[in-house]
Amino acid sequence: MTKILLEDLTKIYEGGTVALEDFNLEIESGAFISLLGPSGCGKTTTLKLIAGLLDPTKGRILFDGEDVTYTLPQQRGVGLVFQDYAVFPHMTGYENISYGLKVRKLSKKEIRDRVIEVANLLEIGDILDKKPREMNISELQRVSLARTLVIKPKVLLLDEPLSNLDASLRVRTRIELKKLQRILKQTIIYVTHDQVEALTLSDKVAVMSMGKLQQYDTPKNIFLKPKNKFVAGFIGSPPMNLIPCSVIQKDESLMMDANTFKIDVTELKDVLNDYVNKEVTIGIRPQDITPSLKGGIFKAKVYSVEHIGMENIITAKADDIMIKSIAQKDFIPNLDEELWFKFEINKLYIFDKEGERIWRS
Amino acid sequence: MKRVSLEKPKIGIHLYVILILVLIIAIFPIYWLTITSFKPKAEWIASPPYWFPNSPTLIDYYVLFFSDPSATAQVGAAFIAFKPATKSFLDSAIVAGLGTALAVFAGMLAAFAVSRHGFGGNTFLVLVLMLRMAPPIVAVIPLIVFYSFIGFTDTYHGLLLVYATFSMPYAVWIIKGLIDEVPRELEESARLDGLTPLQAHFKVTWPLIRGGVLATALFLLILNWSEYLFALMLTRGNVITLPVQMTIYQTYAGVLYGPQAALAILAVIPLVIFGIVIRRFLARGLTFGAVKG
Repeated sequence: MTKILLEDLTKIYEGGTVALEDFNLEIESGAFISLLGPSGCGKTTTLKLIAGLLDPTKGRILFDGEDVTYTLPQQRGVGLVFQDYAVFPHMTGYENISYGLKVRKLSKKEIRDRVIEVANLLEIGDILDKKPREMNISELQRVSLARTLVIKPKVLLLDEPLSNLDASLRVRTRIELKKLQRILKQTIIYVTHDQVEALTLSDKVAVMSMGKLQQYDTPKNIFLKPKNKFVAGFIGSPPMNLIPCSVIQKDESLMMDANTFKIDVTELKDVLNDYVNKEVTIGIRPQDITPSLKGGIFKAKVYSVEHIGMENIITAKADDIMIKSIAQKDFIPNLDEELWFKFEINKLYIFDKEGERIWRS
Repeated sequence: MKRVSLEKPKIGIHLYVILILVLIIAIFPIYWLTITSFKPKAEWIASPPYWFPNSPTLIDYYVLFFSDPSATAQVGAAFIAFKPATKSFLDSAIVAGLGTALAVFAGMLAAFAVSRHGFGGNTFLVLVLMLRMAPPIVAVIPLIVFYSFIGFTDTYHGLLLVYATFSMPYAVWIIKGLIDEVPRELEESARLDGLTPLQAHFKVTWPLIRGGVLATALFLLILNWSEYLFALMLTRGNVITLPVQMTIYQTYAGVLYGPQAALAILAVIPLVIFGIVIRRFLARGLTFGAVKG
């Protein structure tokens, strides 16, 4: 149970690549949080900084108020499960799991007891004599996790642990991880680029992009109240439609002009008064756009239809913008057919030119 | 697309014929060396040649180790006292063996520095290789002058250092490649377990690259074992390596092909033994237990 505080953490690699910039994060004791973002956003760098495998260029890392920024990795009480497992290929499962305890010079008996305890927890008692090359991917992963858990780390770091598993195994392991956290009650930091994993597993999600924290909030708020255009476009499947518009005033009414269509937003006058004649971006989730054969806000040509079980994702093209919408499974338009699309004003998200959200209902 | 057959390809008889021909061509020089070493002087360069020693003898081996005038007379060099070859085996073992060991050890440390700690970037690696870009003869003359100043001429450490220096670039390059293949995460994982970076190199990465490093050592040992130029120019009789010993059988009374062949056969044996000893480490096939996503 450790509370982690990251203060203005910055990491610039040799050669000038800025991997992380002024990163601030407060992780409650015992919380399960995710670092979510596209490749190269600085997630793994953050993890390695917390583990002590990298030194930050600037900033501090505090564990329970104690500055550990330059403390050696083994003195931090941190366990890290690597994406590619990092199981030692020349050692058996048992030797792998016991390695950390051996380095810490525990007695043979204690090592044995702890290895067996963790092996039972992860149900790998029967593969302890196997060498890694004889293990399947799920076993490798469990050994990797066991290696880390056996040293009883205060903080558990997981670097995309599910990314090498196939779909069904991934779902199963996800459920087991969730269960494991209830048993261990540890502070867990989970790195992933998969939003489903992040949203389902964690108490809080930190969405990252280009080495910067975009939003740190509960999964629900991340989805419903995205702080900016990046988070809005990154979370949700299919992603939110983002359409550039300009706000124009006509007499008493306020209009949003997206070239292809205009919508009356007079009711949002209080919010948009400062944005008249300025560029904004509107966001609308595909779930909130309804395609129909007649009547709606704008017309667009069907570009593709994807069947996903109970629903169809319809992508349509109007001038130079692509709109994704979701229709019932029996609504199957032809390609290039002209459809009407409609949505309600109160489902809109509006972002300013810098990408910050200025309005949602 | 061509279908890939899972069946074992059938090797036709014609392929065997070709393989056997290639084998004969490859083995013939060794065969010739072997039979020459058992031939008496009259058969060494007889025409037509003897394809097998007509009257096999061990005299060629005998004269290598014993300065017995009656024996040297039999190989046609009655009045020449040859230095016994025993010393040259010992000298070669010291100079080539330690030189190689030094090159591999220092090269491995450098390879870790480059591969794991980003030392010197690519510039360093190219600089290291540049040491080998000029022909060695370029270095010999200044080395002779320099060595005579510091008293390194004709000493074990003098020649050994030259061997280490000139084989190290290979060691750095080959071993760096081996280290690059081992996922960095293995060491990072060990760091979290409490190992220092240096311990992680030697306790985690070393067992995984051992086979490759030993193969590198064998490769460099072969180069250094048969090195002639530096040995010839930097020694004068205090240190005699095998290739230099080989030349003393080119006498005013003619070239003693038999003893030369005998020495060559004996000189190969230590390398073969070393190769057999390290063979069990050479088996590759460790997948490093890591799976790339």
